[in-house]
Amino acid sequence: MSARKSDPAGSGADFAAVLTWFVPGAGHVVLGRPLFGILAFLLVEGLYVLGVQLSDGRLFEFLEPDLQGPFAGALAPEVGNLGALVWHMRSYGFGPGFPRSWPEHIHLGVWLTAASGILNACLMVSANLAGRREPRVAARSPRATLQVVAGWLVPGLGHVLQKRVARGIAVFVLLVGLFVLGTWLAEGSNLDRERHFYYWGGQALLGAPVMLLEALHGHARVTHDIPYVDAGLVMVCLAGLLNVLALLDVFARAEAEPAPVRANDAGPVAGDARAPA
Amino acid sequence: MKDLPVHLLLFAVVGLVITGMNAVFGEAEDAAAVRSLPKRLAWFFLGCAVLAACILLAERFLAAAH
Repeated sequence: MSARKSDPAGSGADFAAVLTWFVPGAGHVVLGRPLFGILAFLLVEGLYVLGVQLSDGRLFEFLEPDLQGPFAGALAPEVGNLGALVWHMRSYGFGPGFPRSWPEHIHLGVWLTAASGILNACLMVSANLAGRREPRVAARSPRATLQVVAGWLVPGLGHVLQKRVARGIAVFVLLVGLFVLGTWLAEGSNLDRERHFYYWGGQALLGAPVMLLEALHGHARVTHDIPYVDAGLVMVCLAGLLNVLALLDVFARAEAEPAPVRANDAGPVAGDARAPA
Repeated sequence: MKDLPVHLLLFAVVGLVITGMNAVFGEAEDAAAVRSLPKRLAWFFLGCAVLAACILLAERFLAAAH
C-alpha cells in the first residue's frame, strides 16, 4: 500500500477499475489497451455465458423463497462481474416458483459463473494498477494480476510466486487445513451450492481445493443429522474469506516491489520486477 | 453445556487460523509475523472472553427466561 501513497493520482486508475466491474475489459480499453481489453472481455463474459447456458440460468433458483430479493446476488461471487450479474438476474430471475429438475451440468455451470466474477475482480486489480500515473507502478500490473489469480486458485501460490515460500506454505496449510477440517465436520454437505448457497460463496474464494473436493465428493445425499454441520460450514466459509486477506497481502507486495528497469535505465519493462527501483 | 470441550477446541483452531492470517496480513516480514503471533493470540482470546462475558451477563440480567 505504500506505493499507492507515493502515487496519489489514482482517480484514472480507480475509474478504470470501477468501469471494469461493470464491463470486463472496458477499463483497459479506456487506458489505451484495446486488444487486451477485448480479449479479457471475451474470456470473462464467455465464462459467464457458458455457465448460464450449462445451468439454464437457474442459479438463483437455489435460494429459498425468503432469500429471493433484488440484492440476493450481492454476496455471491458473481458480484465481481456486476454487469453480467444484473443481466442474469433480470433475464432469469428466480424461476417459475415451483420445483422442477435441475439441468445435468448445473453445478459446473454455477462454478463457471462464480469463476467469472472472481476473475473479473482480478481484472479490476489489473486495471487499477495499469491506470496509475507512475509508470513504475503501472508496469507491475501483469505480474501482480497473475500473482493474485494464482493466490485465488491455490491459496499461498501467489506468495510463492513472489519468492515468499514460507509464507505461502503457511497460508496454504492454515486455510486449506481449515477447509478440510470444516468439510470433514460437515461430512461434505458444504460441497453443494444448492444446499448452502451463501456459505458456498465464501468457500469458493479458496479456489482449486474446493473445486477438486466438490468434483470428488460433492452433492452427496444427506440421510441423517450431522452433529457439527454448523461449525463445519462456518469454518469452510471463513477459510475462503481469510484467503481474501492473503490476496490483499499478495497485491500489496506486488504493488510495492521494486519496479523493473532496462539495462540502460530507459524505463520500466512490463512484467519484469527483478531490477531495483 | 453439550460438548463444551469440543466446541472450545474447535474455537481454538479457528482462532489460531484467524490470528495466523492476521499476522500474515499485518507484518511484512516473516520473522516479525511469527514473533507477533503469541501477542496476537493473547489479545484475540482475551477479546473473545470479554465478549463472551458481556453476552452471558446480558443474558443473565436482560434476557433470562425463568
